[in-house]
Amino acid sequence: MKKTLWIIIALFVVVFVWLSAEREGGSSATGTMQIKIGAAIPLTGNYASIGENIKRGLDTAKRDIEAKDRSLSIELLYEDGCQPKDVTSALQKLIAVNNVKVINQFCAIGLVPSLEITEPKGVISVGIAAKAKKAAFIYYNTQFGKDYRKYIGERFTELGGQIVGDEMTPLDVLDFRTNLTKIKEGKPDVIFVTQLTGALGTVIKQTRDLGIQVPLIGNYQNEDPVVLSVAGAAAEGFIISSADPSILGKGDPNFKQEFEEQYNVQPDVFASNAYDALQLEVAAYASCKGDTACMKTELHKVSDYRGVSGTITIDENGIASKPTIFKIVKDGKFVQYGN
Amino acid sequence: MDIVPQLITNSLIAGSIYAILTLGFNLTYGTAKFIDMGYGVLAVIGGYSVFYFSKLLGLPLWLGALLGITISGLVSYLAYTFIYKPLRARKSSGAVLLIASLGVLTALQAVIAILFTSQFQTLSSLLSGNRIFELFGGTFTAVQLSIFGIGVVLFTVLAFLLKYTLFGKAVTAISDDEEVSKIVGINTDRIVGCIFFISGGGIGNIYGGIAGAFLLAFAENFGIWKIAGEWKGAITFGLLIMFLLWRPQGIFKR
Repeated sequence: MKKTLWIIIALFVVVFVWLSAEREGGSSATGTMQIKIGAAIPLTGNYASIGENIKRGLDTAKRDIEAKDRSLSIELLYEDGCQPKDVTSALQKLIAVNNVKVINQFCAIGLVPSLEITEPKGVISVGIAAKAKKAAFIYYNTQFGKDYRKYIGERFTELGGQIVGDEMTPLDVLDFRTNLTKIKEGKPDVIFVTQLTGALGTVIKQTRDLGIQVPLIGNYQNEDPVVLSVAGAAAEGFIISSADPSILGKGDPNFKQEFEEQYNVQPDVFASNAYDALQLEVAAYASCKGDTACMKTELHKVSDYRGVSGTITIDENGIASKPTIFKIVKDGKFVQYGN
Repeated sequence: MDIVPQLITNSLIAGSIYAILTLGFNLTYGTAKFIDMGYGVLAVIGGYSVFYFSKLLGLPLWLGALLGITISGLVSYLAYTFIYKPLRARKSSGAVLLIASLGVLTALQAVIAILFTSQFQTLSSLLSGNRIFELFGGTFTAVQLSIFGIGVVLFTVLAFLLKYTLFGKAVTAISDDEEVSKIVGINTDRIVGCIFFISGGGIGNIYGGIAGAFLLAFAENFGIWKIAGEWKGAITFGLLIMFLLWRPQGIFKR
């Protein structure tokens, strides 16, 4: 009986040590550096198409990094989440069960509250994320939507403009007609819209259906074939900000071709951002040997990094910026707008 | 006040969509007496069937729509036959049926996501030349007009069916008392099965259901006239709570 007990205890110890070694990651006996990176992104729901493209971008970056440096072995762990409650449980699983130190996220609505979980544990969160006198805003209720409204609105009024419509909408609605009816009443010269993918296509379509013909302006996240497919002909004239195309693809000229061969679609802004994010994360992880404080400092020092999504500079607060141009939808395609 | 005709139009459009869904939901709730959480996914199956047959296979839109109605009806009938009927036969509680219907919802949603991905799909390319009309200052499209028209036709047909046919009388009897209906010789299983097929198309009170659908749409759209749009959800559920507290029997008494 005593012998059996000892065998059970010994087995427990072996399993525990083995599991601990698994959880620790780091360098293995063969000299390969094991890197676990998580992603809490929307894989179902309204923003699933974005999550899918982020996943494709991360998977492509993983293949490229491992092909270039055989001493690195990357494990990507995906969890589905956009709303704060889903992101919170996804992060808790990634941190507690999978022991990841870097987590990529998309939805700002989930990213901001999740910092309370990741920061105390030292886990790094990465967010992939005209001349007119009267402007109106229609934006979704997220931190990004509110910030976009605030900063563009402030700049617009500083330049002498007037804001005649201000409509914040819940994340999960697709009927914007009454919000747009109110905006129409203010007779704006331009409408700034902060929405994504199919919901954005719906806003554009409903705007034109209501007979509102003023320019609609989106942002760098909107260069998305789903927007064009949902909005159809109504998308003509839709303007967005975008990364400078003269820089795109400079980071790795093969990325676009490799991505198209693998997935039969062109990489969008989300896939490109995710690709660059993983490249920067792995470089920081390898040089800091997984020390998250050191990685944070390294990432905040990134300056003029020529990625596939543009030239990236990250400031001391962790905000990434890129040179920007404007694009407009013409004949069903996004083309460069002005200089 | 220029805005009022458009708000009325917006409310009528939203109300028509709610009313079409309410008709089927009300019908199953009235006869089978449980909250069928899986009901919403049946409408989605109809939509995806049209997408598959008319957009991917290129069949005419009317044929795609006909197949969509048939398939969603069939799925609803199968869910009743293989899941709800055995549960009802063993006198399972409403809670058990509700949970089973939640299972149906989740499972069918997952199947749709596997078959069609979770991405937005659109039929808009099939509806080229979606004309825009204006009436009394309210703007609406041909598709929106057709939603309203379909709502009116469905309501009229259903009201006629329930009032003037033997089937309708059987449905009314079952919704009043299923046990007594059985005793007087109504094949309740067959009738409820048919209802599930039609509801993938209640007689809680279809008039009340329709009134509720439009009341909700008007409250939502007029409610955010003077306040911000993100209050829509709060207005909807606030209205629901008020009804549960002060008018639990519904808009019209049965």
